[in-house]
Amino acid sequence: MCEGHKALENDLLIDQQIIGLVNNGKIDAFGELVARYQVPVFNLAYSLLTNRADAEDATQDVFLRAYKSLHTYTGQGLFWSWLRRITVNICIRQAQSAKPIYCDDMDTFIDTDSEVCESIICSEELEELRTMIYRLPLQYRSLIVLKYYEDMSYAEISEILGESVSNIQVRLFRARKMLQESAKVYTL
Amino acid sequence: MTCEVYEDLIPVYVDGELDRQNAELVEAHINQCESCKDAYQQAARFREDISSALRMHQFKIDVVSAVVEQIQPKHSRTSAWVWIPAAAVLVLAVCLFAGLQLAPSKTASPGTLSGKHNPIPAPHINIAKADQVSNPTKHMERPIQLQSAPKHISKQPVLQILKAKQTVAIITAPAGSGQAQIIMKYTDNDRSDPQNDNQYPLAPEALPVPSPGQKIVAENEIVSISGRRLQRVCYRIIEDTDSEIRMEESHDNN
Repeated sequence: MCEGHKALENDLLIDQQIIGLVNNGKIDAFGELVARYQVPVFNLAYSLLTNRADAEDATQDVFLRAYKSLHTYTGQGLFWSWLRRITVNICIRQAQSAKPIYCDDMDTFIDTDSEVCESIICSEELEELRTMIYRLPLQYRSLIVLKYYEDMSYAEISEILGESVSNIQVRLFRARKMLQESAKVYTL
Repeated sequence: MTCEVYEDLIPVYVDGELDRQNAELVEAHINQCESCKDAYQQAARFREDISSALRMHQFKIDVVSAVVEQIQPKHSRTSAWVWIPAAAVLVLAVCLFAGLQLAPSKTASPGTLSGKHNPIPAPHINIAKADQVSNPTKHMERPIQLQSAPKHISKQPVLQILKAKQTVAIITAPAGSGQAQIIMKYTDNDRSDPQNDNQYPLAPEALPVPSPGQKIVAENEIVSISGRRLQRVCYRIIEDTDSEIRMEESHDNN
């Protein structure tokens, strides 16, 4: 058994012990779960919402929702997978209700002055690429984040967003195209 | 398959989402076609850069206390405002109940304290000294020493009080923390019976903790109604003017 797998099993065990305490009325133990997962929840929320204040609100909402629904977590699969689903749902709902962004707006975000960089992309260009990702409409940005930040499979994304795998594949293809066109670094 | 088809498959291959058969076809093709090999390398780099761009800033945050505060039960933050008035209401209710049941009124309903099969006639006040009552039967309350009420308690006996004792309740919880277990301890003169020295938790078993500067006083009285000896307990919250806790301090009133 590899070290990574052992660590994963250890994490799972710790999570389940804490959840057991919380379900038995030890409310304060939930703080341990928050401490363990607040950073990944917040950074995922930030990637989806692209705004620190909104991401912080969403992070609190995620944990409050998780607390209320903790009894529904059966222990099948990682706790993080369960928490991530809540995070994505809350962030997408929050983004949709706050400020809807449509694909038609993309033209205004395209930066035509980006330089072509043949070598390993430098940090400034990574920053630029990140900005491009953040400017994508939510329906595309969410796919880029879930696939390339969270390393989720098409099937997992499909399940979490309630869409078909083929639809996810097509939209992800479009999202990559938008980024390639805007950055002009990765023109195939 | 043409290169155009492979170019569509390459990003999916890079994502690791192609099935084994198509993955092997793509691998075979990019080893033969320079153009598609470049497309593959560019797609792989693009994927890597997107991951790096999204991970280049990892923000720290601390919402533990904010979340834990919101999931705590609400009553714990308002307990002081709830329990102090509740204590006053409880004391008033107990006193009123005891007064109504035992008051020497002609219209009082007899038998309230006597049980279903043994109604009590209208109260008859019989002023008697404590030492005139002797040899209580087993079903009666044990006699206890008479003790004068403290000066700061307004005490107006309405019945014949054969023997009474006033005890300061033992508070086993800090003030304002919720409920306190009230344990009253009283003894009779007969020290030969070790059971007489037991502690008796009296109903209500738990009372709200009074606010600082107050304490709960339980007045335990043996009263006589038409020859029946009954026990009456009255709880009061009084201002704690005495720093000394009076426990087991009793003396004859006569």
